Amino acid sequence: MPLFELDDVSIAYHSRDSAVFAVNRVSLGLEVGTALGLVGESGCGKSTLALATLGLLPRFANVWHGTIRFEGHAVSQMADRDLRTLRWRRMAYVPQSALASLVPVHSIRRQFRDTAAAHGMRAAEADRRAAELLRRVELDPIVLDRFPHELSGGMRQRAIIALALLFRPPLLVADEPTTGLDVIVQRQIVNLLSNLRRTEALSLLFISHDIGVVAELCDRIAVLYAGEVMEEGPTPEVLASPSHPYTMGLARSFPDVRAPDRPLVSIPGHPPRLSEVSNGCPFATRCPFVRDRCRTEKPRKTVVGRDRSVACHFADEAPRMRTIATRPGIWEEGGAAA
Amino acid sequence: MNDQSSIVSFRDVRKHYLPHAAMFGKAPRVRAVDGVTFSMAPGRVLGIAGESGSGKSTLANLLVGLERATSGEVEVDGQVMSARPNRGLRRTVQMVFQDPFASLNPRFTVGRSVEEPLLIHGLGTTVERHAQAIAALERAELRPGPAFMSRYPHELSGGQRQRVAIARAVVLNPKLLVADEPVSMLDVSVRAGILRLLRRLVTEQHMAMVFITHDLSIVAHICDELAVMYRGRIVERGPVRDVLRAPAHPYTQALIDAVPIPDPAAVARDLPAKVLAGSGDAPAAHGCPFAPRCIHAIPQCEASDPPDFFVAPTHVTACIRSAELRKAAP
Amino acid sequence: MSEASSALPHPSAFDGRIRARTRFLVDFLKIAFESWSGAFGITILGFIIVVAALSPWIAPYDPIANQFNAAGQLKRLEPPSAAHWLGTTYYGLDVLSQMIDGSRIVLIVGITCASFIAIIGTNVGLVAGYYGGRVDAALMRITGLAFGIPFIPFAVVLVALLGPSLWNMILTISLLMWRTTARVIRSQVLSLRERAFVKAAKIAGASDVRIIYVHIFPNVLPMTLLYVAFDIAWAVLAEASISFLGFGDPNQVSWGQMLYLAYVSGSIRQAWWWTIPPGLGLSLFVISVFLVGRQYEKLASPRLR
Repeated sequence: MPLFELDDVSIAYHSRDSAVFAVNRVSLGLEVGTALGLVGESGCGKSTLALATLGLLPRFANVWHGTIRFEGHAVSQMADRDLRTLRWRRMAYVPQSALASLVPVHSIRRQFRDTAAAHGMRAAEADRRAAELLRRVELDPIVLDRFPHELSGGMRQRAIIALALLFRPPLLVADEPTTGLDVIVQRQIVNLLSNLRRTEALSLLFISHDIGVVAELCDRIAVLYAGEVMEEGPTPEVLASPSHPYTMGLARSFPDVRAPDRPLVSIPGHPPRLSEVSNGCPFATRCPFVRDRCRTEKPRKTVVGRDRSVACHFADEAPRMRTIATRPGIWEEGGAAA
Repeated sequence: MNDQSSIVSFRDVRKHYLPHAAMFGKAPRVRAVDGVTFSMAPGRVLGIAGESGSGKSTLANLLVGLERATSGEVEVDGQVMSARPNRGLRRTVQMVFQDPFASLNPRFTVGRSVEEPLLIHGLGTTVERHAQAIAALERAELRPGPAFMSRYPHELSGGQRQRVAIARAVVLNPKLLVADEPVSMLDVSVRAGILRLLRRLVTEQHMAMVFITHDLSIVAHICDELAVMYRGRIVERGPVRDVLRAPAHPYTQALIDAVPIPDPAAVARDLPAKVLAGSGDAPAAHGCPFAPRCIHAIPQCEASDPPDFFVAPTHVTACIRSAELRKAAP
Repeated sequence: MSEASSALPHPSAFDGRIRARTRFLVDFLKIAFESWSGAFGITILGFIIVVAALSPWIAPYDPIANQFNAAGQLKRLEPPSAAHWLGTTYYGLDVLSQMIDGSRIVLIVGITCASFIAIIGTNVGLVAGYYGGRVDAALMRITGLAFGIPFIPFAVVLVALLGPSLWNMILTISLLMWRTTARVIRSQVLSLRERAFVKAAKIAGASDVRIIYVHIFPNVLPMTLLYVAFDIAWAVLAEASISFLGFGDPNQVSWGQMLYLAYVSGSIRQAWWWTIPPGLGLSLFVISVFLVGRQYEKLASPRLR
């Protein structure tokens, strides 16, 4: 049984007269001890999924369809009171901006104590755990008596990670923890998470728009676009031989500092707004391989290989598409190559 | 290289800030830019790379006249750039900002925003300005231009907004464009398009460009030369591919090694713990600013400012040990 | 799209502005009607505006003419009847006509003061917020002074010095009440001036004045208008207070003055038909303005919807 599972999940945001779907029938699984990376651009629904996992969706959003399961429990259907016993103890959250999530007028020690108290740990033990965890994330425990603004961005992020590990949860949900950090600090955090996975036997749901970081940290990768899973599988395989045109384009839009002459791809158009619903494949408007069927019929999940899947009508033509995708010309505006 | 034909010339420029009288008695100066000297030929693209605290944003502000240098000379197109430059200089240098949404006035239509520089300088009639705005939008690949003129920023995507900002910046045909992290807030799949656009405009309009970024991976796709900044100083400068392939300064090497590789098959080189340990306090007034974190540091590094060492005629670095380290490295 | 050949400005250059203005008005009315409270508010306000506009024609009697009965006696303190729907005052004046006439003052004082307050307060806020430093300090000191001065005593002194006329009252109110607007606008400007589009305008060569009025002002305008709405209510209450204390313009019928006369003539307990209408009228007006203003807040900041 997977530690964590999204079973045909759709999440809707409600306004006064309509609802838009940020996540549309997503099914993913995370096994114990592994790291799954959710990759996508703006509007792909990855942050919504992260919040939904811990039952932190805002009041005007809900899981419209499907179930989110953690250790077998259907967390998407649990009352908040029951969810609280799971939250932080069994699954913890590392948000993107530490500055926004730490209370600016409380010391770090106070943040630890407050979090601990909210989930039933006494202050003395909280202090002890805090010092131990700070050392684990390579911070001097003297930081406990500092305030968030007195720490650098990297230090704050590490403090937040330590806070998440307070109860030794088996699952850590990290939402863009390295975005906005300097590249050397990012390297620190990535190394740290990598180590923690080993030493704390942590499973990781890692959300990012940066394929490079996901490539280093995650065993498996799921590529999201407009709230749907385009492709999913073991990271090295998916990146080395992508089966979905979006993955092909996305992977080639990430420059490699060590290969500066490799031409950079830019997918024409832009990710669709949540309100723009389509009956077909959401990527149809930008896909160089688009055919009529793509616009009218939603692709079903096709299994490729042992443990990979892709949502494309023409998944069996993937090798051919892959070759064509390496030609930068086809990603130009109007460059179709069906 | 400080001849008259430079489009940009910095001579020992410093920008120091004095924070408010600190609550606890200490008020250390913040040396945002601490002795920067360089010049740039017209029509070239110079990348300035650095992390937060490197001074790159302050450098951008000095270039466009939003701030005035504490000491040293800043010259653009042969004229001194101060905090209140004359009208002519205002037409010569323009800027593209990092946040595409914040850089457009939310109450202005796209057309109004792009026409504003023309209005400020009183150029052309209403009809001419309208036409020039449309032309600028189409040069920025927003077609059809007329359709975009009456749109509002919130109706556009991030990439489109940035194109509007670029159109506004080039409508006056400036000689120098300063781009401050123009793609870092955009989705990855649209970045390359913006970079190509900037590159194309540089060529078509014979502009020079200073491209500021924290992301070393993209510099090779748009810059001719690269300067790496650390703590207010330029620690290395040279042709972009030379600097990336064979960095002459330990900090540049660290930056390159720190970047995650999108290719999972490649093996990452690990960074020494000393480098990872972080910057800590403000650097001392003398000596190499990177010395406290550098694994190759010798006592002399902290004692005196490192001199410029020329790896090649156009590739210079501020590291005493550069020569011997390059000989030793494979 | 033809190139610049004709001398006429291109039509699309103006379309946007006209469209924007009518859309704004329609939006405004739509927003007001979106909730029951807003609909109530705007209906009351609309009613008062119509009454004020038509007052010379719909008042059944001359509001300052004494009413006599058939026997030639002054109709003093008569309760409501068919001839006088709201009865008469101690001085034999028709209450309904006074109410109708007084509605004009409500609107005149409200709108004039609110306009002055908006102009003074917004400009002080813009200049202080944009320039900062000594200019800001000086302007904020003056604003602080305005906050420190208590309104009623100040009004009393000013009226004593200048005489109790309507314009002096408007002056008094405007001189003090711009302070809140100034502070609010200033704090908005403080954050706006750091935004990239302001820097872009500076780099393009815009002068400070241009940046303040062309670039920043349109962005604080929604806030200004919101405060105009509330200031109308405050100004009317202020005028009513001054009049109630007896410092109002004796030559103008106003609802505050009606309450003053009722009080001063000792009739305030018995003549409910004389005291309730002006009191109710003032309350309804203020409530309506607040309700509509609250709806408008949603227009200014869509997140509140």
